[in-house]
Amino acid sequence: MTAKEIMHPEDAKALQMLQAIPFVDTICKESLHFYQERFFKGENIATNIQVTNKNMPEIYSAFQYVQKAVGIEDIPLYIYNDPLMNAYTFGETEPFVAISSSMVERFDIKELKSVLAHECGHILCKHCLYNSVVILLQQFGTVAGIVNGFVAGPIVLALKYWSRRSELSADRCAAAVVGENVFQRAMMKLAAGLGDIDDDSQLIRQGKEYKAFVKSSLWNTIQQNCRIAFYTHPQMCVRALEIDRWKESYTYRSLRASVA
Amino acid sequence: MTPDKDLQFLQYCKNDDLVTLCNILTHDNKGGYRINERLTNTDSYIQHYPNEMSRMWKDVAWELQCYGGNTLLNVFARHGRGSAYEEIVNDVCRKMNVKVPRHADCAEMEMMLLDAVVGKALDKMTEAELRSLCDELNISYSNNLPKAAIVAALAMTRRTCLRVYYYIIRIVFQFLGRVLVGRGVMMATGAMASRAIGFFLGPIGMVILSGMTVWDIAGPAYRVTIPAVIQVALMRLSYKSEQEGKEAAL
Repeated sequence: MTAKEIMHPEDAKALQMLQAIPFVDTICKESLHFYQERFFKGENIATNIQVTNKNMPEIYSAFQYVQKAVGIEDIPLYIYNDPLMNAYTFGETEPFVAISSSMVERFDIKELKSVLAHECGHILCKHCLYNSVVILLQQFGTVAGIVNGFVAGPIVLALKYWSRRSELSADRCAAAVVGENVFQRAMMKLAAGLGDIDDDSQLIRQGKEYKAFVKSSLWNTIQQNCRIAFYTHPQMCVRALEIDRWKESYTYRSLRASVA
Repeated sequence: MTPDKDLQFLQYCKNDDLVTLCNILTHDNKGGYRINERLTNTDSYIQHYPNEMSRMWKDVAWELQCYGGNTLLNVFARHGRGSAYEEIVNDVCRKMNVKVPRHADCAEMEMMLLDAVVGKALDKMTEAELRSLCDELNISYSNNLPKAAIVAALAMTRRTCLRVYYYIIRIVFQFLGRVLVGRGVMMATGAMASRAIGFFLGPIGMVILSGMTVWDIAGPAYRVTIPAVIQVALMRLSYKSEQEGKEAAL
């Protein structure tokens, strides 16, 4: 699997625009190298539990399968204690993946593979590099108050726009590894926060309904765009619908054939 | 899309040719996505690219028409649709300094454009490239053979046999890249010079200049339409030569 195959065109375009900003690459790399990578590494070793072949072997082998399918290797996986279902990845030179305990509890092994493949998709597309700036600006701006919100605002909005697009690429990676049905089920569980769901395609229907609602008037379009401007992830139904569209593509079919 | 009789033939074109046209519309020279393109996120692109291109020819044509129109006009006057293809070819010919008769149709303008581009390509070719071209065409090359003679021979071939003309054009187009790049640089330099003049005309000049800049930014994207029209011209030539071959076989 290559990044080009799974990259959503909007993600690729946003990334091109981001890379056109002078020094953004250097800032991201230095920020990652000197601050965030070391910070997270320390935190992972100190606070979280690493998944190994002795400790949680089923999840370990699932992660090995996903890494092989995506074409990356030697990524450490950690589990952290959180009632909120979530997962994240970070790092450029030493990337890692972390998933919350509640996700392990409520997702079956196939759905977990979907989440892990999503995170591996971020690693494959090298999203972490630019994501580091989103985190850095948030920390400097809202937490430490070093960067004025008015000054950093446009940059933050641009980065969040890209961040939402990057999630679509990672979703493609997940769907390519586990198939669209498992992906949709994982999305449903994530949206509902429940361990059991009956209908895999409810989110797709809602996605179509949402799309029609947004397009129904200019005011709806403006309002909904303003609403998601500060989101780092697209809405669940949009993600479900995007994969439902992509499953018809030649790339998806050939990737599925190669993974299977 | 705007129903355009001049682009209807795209549905009968070869898959590879349509892929090339589609790539010109969606990707830049470096292989990156064009920021303004809207094709790659359409359902038809997701479903049919790159294997069933004839099923998405309407979307490809629509994208080309949008690139050829002024964005402001497309939005406010054409209800999201672009220019007629004939208008786009006319614009491209004007931009490439190709003089076309007033009532020439689309196919005629495209032929003139191809001739002009081939002429320019031949001018830019080195001795070695010309020699290899002549080898490909089974013409005995000598240093005394003027380039104009080759161009004239090409024009003659166009009249006598479209299939041979298409074959020759394809070979010559291997050398096309540099000519187009050079042309793009010249256009950009000209635009910059006119902006500089506007700036020195003072506040009124600057107001006019800003209006012109907005209009130009919204205007036809020649970096896309020039190669795209040349590709469409080649495809039409290929289609016509095939038709000619079929008729001859009958």
